[in-house]
Amino acid sequence: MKTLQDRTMAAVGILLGIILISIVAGDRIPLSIRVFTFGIALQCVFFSVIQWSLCRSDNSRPWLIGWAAISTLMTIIVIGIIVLHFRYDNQEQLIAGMEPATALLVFGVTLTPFGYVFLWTAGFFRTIFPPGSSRRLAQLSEPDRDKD
Amino acid sequence: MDDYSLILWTIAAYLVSCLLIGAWAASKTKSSRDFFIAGKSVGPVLLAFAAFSTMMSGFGFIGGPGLVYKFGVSSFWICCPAILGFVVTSLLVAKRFKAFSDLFDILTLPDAVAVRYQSRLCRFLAALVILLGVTAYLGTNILAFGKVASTFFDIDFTWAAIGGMTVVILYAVFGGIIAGIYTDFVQGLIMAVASVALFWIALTTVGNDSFTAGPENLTRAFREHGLGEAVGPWGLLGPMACLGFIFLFALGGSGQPQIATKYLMQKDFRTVRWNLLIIAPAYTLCILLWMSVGFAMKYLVITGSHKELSDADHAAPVFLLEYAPAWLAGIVFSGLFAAIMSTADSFLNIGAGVFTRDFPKVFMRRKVANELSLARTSTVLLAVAATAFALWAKNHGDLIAILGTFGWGLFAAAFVPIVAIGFNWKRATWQGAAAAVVIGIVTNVGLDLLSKYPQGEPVYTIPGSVSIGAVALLASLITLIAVSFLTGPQKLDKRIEAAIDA
Repeated sequence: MKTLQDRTMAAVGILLGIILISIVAGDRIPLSIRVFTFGIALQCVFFSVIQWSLCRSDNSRPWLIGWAAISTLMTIIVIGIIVLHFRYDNQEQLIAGMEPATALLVFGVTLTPFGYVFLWTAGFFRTIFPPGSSRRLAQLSEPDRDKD
Repeated sequence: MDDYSLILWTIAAYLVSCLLIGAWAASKTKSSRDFFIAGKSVGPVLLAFAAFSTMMSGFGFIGGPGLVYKFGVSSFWICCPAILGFVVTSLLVAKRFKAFSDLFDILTLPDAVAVRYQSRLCRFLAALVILLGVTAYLGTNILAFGKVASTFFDIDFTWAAIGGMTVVILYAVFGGIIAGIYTDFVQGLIMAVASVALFWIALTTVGNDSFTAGPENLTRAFREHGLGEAVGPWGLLGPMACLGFIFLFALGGSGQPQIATKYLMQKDFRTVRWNLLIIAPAYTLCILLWMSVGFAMKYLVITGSHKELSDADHAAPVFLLEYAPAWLAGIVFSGLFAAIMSTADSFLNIGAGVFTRDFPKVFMRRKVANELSLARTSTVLLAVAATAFALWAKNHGDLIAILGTFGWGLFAAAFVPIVAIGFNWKRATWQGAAAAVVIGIVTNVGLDLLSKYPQGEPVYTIPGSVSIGAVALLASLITLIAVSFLTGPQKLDKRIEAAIDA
């Protein structure tokens, strides 16, 4: 496990194992603990995979922080839904005609990824496809083609 | 002209336009490269609509509202994280597939797998999964088409299914994937616009002509009738099942070959920059239909305005026919038929690739001479075999149910590890990839059989109603990571390293 890639994958493997245990354990673990474990581990998997797949260069740092911020916001929203669900007892309190946790799902989980969409589009040549990548691929693409 | 005739003419006009697109696409299809990857000439707008329409197929418009009708908000956990799914797919698959297809001769997903892992076994396993998944998807699509068309046109199911597949064969054999992509574009555009109109109608129906009162009326009516949990954040399936949906549908999208292969068709990766900007709003508009129509129909049933539906999947068709204007119903039904047909076209195309590219390279270790002819012949044979199978399986309800649930979960469990992860992680080995695919298949089939057989009490069901596909995906991902670490690094060609590093 010498590289950052390997260490990230090892961490993802452990998180996936935790999720699997939280599922198959069933009623042997209280539901609230299983739900928190699953929710947090799941968001950590997405967080790791997303950060791992972005390109790193000297001028990409602000964009990488942006991606991390949106991932953190998604995690907060999922945890927020779980907390609101387990603590919600005011039947009269509705947001846009929905229970607060349902409203957070509909507006939060659906709309927050638009932050990623913005970062993908605006920072495309910094974190997704920097000029170095396209140059390297162009150099390699023509001469050896069709030799699979 | 009465409402039924108006709907019928709208559908007829749309199907004819699809056939015209097919005929035009036939003139553009001159090689296997055109047939399978549209000659790598697809721009960002078409690519975005094709990817989004493939995701929001007949399932999105019939199955989605049906799930809302049956399980309430639980179903939102499938559609709401879909934008996250497109982001993950774009990050993990789009660039890698472009890089690999620029460096190697790749027309199919197993082609890419064979190149990445330098393994015929991996190619064979990938091709096998595609055949199993394609059979499942084609079977359910043919059944869905037969079911909707026989009810709507009042004709025999068998003739409806055969008629539908005949149109698909004509369209898929000659037009290849080019025809599919252009009809996907038209379908996606129509569905996005129609969804907004239906959302408005659904909420004003529930809100007694007031759009803003809709959600509150719905929540209160559900609570009054003892269904408060259905409008809670997890619906009737509970939190574990819903978190399982996020995992399966947001990460699982990156393992769907019908979506992944679209990224082999891109003309220039730099234009993919605009993809998500098109996909995300269009998909969000379609979610409006998914979320509102099933709830509106359930509201009408529990408040006594409509009789109970015999099948939850009838929620959208019944709402369209009885509560939407005829012109809108006609457009949505046309889009629905087109969605089923273009999905069938995509799967026939992917399946034909197995016989044209993958099996010859696995068993004869070479390419065939005339790939385009073989691709067209394979498409016809596959379509005929799938139709015959679907008609036979129609009387074996369980079999189709098993296959139906199989599709997405099988592709996710088999391909997320070896494509989404393996194409980004140099340490992933061919042994890890092969083991992950095998575990993905075995877990999917095994858990499905254990939960359904023997008759009566199931042998094992997953706690918390978590879907089988989610557990299979977890198992196969863990397998890839563990086996790859255990088997040590595989020596990679410098071009493969470059494609992973790009």
